[in-house]
Amino acid sequence: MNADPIRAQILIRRGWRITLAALLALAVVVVLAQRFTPTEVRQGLAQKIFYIHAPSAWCAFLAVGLTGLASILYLWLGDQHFDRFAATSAEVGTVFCAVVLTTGPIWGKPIWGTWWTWDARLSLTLFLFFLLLGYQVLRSAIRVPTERARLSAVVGIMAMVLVPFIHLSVYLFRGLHPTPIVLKPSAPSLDPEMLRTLLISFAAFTLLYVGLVTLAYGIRLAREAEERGHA
Amino acid sequence: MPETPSNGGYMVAAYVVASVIYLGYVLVLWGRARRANREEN
Amino acid sequence: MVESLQLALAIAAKDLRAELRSRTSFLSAAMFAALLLVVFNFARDPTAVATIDLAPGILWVTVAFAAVVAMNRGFAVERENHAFDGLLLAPVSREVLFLGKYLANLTFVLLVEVIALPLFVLFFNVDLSQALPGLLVTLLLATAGLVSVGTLFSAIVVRTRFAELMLPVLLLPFMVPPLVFAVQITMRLLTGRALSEVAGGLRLLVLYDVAFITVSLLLFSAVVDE
Repeated sequence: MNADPIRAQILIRRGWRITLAALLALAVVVVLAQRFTPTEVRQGLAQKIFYIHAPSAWCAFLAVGLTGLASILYLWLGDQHFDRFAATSAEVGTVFCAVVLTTGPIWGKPIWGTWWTWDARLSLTLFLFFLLLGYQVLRSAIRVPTERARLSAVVGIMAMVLVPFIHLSVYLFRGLHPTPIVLKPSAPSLDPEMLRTLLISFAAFTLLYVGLVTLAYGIRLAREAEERGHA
Repeated sequence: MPETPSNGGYMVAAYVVASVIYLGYVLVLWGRARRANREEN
Repeated sequence: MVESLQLALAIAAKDLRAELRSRTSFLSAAMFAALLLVVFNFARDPTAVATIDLAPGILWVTVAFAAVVAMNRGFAVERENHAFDGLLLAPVSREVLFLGKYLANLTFVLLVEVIALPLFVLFFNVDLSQALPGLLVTLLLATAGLVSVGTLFSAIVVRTRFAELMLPVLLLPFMVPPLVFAVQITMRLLTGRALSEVAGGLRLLVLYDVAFITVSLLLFSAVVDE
């Protein structure tokens, strides 16, 4: 128990280092995307939003998936670390979702002609966003840590079961409401330079996820150790 | 050959919004870390 | 096995009896459904959009919201009487307990739907002559799924401070798939399509029910046991 504050500080420092490295990498990605990547002829400059949007979506899904996994592991093994990780990943996931849900429409408007198109990925992200918010709102409403961990783990697992059904629903819904296609969007033609920028961006955003989770986890651990010390 | 649409404004907007959200969260974490440290010392 | 079922039915009956004795929550839920239908009626322009296009959506939104209101029932009562805690002390398996609560909730919500459906037909001039059997099956299947998640989540939020708010917040995303499937089926039924065309949607509803009744059942003990 006494090792916790120390471990927390180590994680916080490590988290900062990784996060700052990731932010640096992202700055490089922005420069790459702007200066050293060709502009897609049909979509124009707006297509470059893709280099931010798609990797952020990947990180959002990663965050949600890991929260679900941690929920299962917590209920199975009872280890507090899993609960702490689940809560942290959910928070970070919310941030990534927010970016996807804002950059998506900003990309969509010039390309598809409308702000929102109930496109499969965007719709799923919207649902994940609501599920993550619900998860965190529930956590904030329960005082007792063990109860909070247990109950939010249950909700986390339920959310995992829901995901394939959301996918089915969106698919079914879109069958009835074909999306307006002004220009053909989706993944850019695999120009080697575009692919390079995209892959580097994926790596940088994944690094950002790792950094943010490490940092946020460490802070959470520090706070808990702090509260226990004062209790 | 279709003319490339000029929609650079959207690109800038998206990059700015994303940066604000990410950096905003980093700032939130920084604030939390500082408060946690201060309480300990 | 039979004993468990009898036990579950007994728990459900006890729950329902207590509920219907006061009748408050049932009346509230039924009135809520009726009012929703009225509001929807005034919120549309029948000359602009054909009723048949809006009707399925209206029906299922009403069902969804009425179900949430119905499942919100008894939080205050349970907390005051600690009735639930008493049940937990009894040597009843958690699965049976879930089944009992589930059946009580299911009956309750179905009763509300029994009130809502005729009103729906009345207000929206819907011709149910061909569609009724299919619609009843759909109502049963969709409600069965919704109530399983609702029962689990009710047990979760009853310990929180704003249970009545927390339940819809958690529950609504889970209601979307059965709603989407049900609306699709209803649309087909009301426009006189053959039952074979709705088989796909019904299969999806069954899939949802199997998945969530199972998972809710399994997770219930994690919720109620320390």
